Amino acid sequence: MITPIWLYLASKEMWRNWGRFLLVSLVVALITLLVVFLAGLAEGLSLSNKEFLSKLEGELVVFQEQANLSLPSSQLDNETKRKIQRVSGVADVGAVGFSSVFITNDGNDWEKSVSLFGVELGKPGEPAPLEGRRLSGARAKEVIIGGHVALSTGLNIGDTLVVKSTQAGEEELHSLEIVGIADGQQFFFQPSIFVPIQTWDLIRPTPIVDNSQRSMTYNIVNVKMVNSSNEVDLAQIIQQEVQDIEVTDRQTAYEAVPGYQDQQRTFNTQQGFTLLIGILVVGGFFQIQTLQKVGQVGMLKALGTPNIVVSLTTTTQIFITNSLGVIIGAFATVLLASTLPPSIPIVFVGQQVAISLVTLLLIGPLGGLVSIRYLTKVEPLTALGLSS
Amino acid sequence: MKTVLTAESLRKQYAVDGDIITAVSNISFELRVGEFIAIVGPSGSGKTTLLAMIAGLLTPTSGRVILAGNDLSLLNDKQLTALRRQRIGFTFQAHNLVPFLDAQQNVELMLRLNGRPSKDGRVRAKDLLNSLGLGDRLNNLPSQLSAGQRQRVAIARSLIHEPDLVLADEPTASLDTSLAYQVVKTFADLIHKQKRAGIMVTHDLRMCRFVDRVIQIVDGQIIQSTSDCSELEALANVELPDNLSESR
Repeated sequence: MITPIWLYLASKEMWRNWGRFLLVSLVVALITLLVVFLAGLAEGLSLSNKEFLSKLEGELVVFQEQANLSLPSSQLDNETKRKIQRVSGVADVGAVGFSSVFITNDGNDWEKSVSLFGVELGKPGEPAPLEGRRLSGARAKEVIIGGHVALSTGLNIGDTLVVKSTQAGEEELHSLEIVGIADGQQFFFQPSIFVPIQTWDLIRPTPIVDNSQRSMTYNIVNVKMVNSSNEVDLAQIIQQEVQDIEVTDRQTAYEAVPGYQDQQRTFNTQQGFTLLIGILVVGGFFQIQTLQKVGQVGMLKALGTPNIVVSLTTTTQIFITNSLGVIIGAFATVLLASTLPPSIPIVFVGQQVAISLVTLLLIGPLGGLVSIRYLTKVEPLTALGLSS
Repeated sequence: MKTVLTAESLRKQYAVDGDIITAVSNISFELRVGEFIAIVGPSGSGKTTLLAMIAGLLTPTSGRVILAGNDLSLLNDKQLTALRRQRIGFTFQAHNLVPFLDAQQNVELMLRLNGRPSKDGRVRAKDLLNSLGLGDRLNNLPSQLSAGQRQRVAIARSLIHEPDLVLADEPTASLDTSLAYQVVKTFADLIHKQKRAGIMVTHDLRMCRFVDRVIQIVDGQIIQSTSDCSELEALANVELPDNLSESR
């Protein structure tokens, strides 16, 4: 089989000048590392914010109307929950209470800040444990811990977890038995633990001493629909039939978490600038190469080399150099991520990594467009020292 | 002998700052198979412009070039590129070789450009380089060759694809006298041996002793065209080194 002339010229030049091309590949690799790392960090940090809400079983989330979709600010009562339950199209509802507390083990050897969730047993919002069993009763002194808590504290099923809660100005300690471990469900940059809703009501931080003086409230209601295809319609119906609430889908709910969108925009901007730098680096390198090769290209054209061969030769070199850089960068990122401590929130999601890598593969041809256009304009007359 | 090239009333004019500059004026000549001619003249006389028009790199203001039966004025860019690739061999004054290809690969380049790389082609390239005294330099890059060796590689490249016409633009410009004689003599020998037609553009009249005819140009016009041996020697007017004295 005859090697096409453009591939022959491209490969010979790269082989003879491998150091120069490898250097650019390594720069692309560093850019790839940065872009994919930023994508992983953006996803990891967004998960730290949204993981609990994004993994809720139900399709809709109900907030108090005046809470502006802020979970800590929202306060709902049992009457509201019952009204939501009665709306046609609602399959089931589950109340979820949220507090931020510190936990420790029974020896008080360490302390960790976590999101404490109160969930209704058998209702939307209750996590399904990956190990162990479900919570057994509405007032049980039991807890299911998220995977992140298990990983960072070493706590396991059967261990005792102590919740430190400030109640009426005093620090109270509440011992809970770990009965299960669920997958990671972070919220507000904290790992999560789950207790029965009435246990949560007893142990959560509160300014009131006498529990009989206050009624049971929680933060949100998670709604599971009969038919999950008409989220918007059902959300409107619930809002019309129940007063003083705001109903939204899970995505809108977690996008409303304070700082979430600003954080994502910051990362997207950083990625955009990094990609722009990549385009300029690749474009700059090939433009310098092109300027150095004007005489040689003129000679090749005078010999009868068509423009398409000249263009394909450079395009091939750009593609190979860039692809090699992206591959090296991708491997370097995996290697780097595997050496980082679990406390650094890096999460690689297949689709996002694929989008980043495809974008990185495109920066080469984009950066090289100017050089390729320049090369097609080189006059064969330059070989004779003339110009048209 | 069959006519390979016909130049008919070639004229090239440029507009510079509103003035019309005539680089080549009313030049006509024919070139036959096996004939090697030199176009000589001082710098700025229009000889390279003439060569560019013959090669189809520059469109004449008037007149026409017929190469191997093809009227170049009737061909589009793509056809002209193909014609250069298939019918013409080139050596240039500078940027002659592809820097990342070795000597043999540079010679084979014309076969590859024409889609005809083959074992037979490799052998012919090797033989051609051997005949030019470069048998031990086949795998050397241009940067590892002397100026004379590079020109000889370019000569081999201009002949490997068996073109109808070989064009050489100042092939001896960067060579010392002894090397220049050797290069032009080699060129002339190969053109005669392979029955090609060749045109060498040079400002160095000493090279005229190796060609069959000299066309002398001044200010874009032919002032003399001669194939008379004594006239050519007179033009050259230089003592030859002993090893080249039997060249003509």
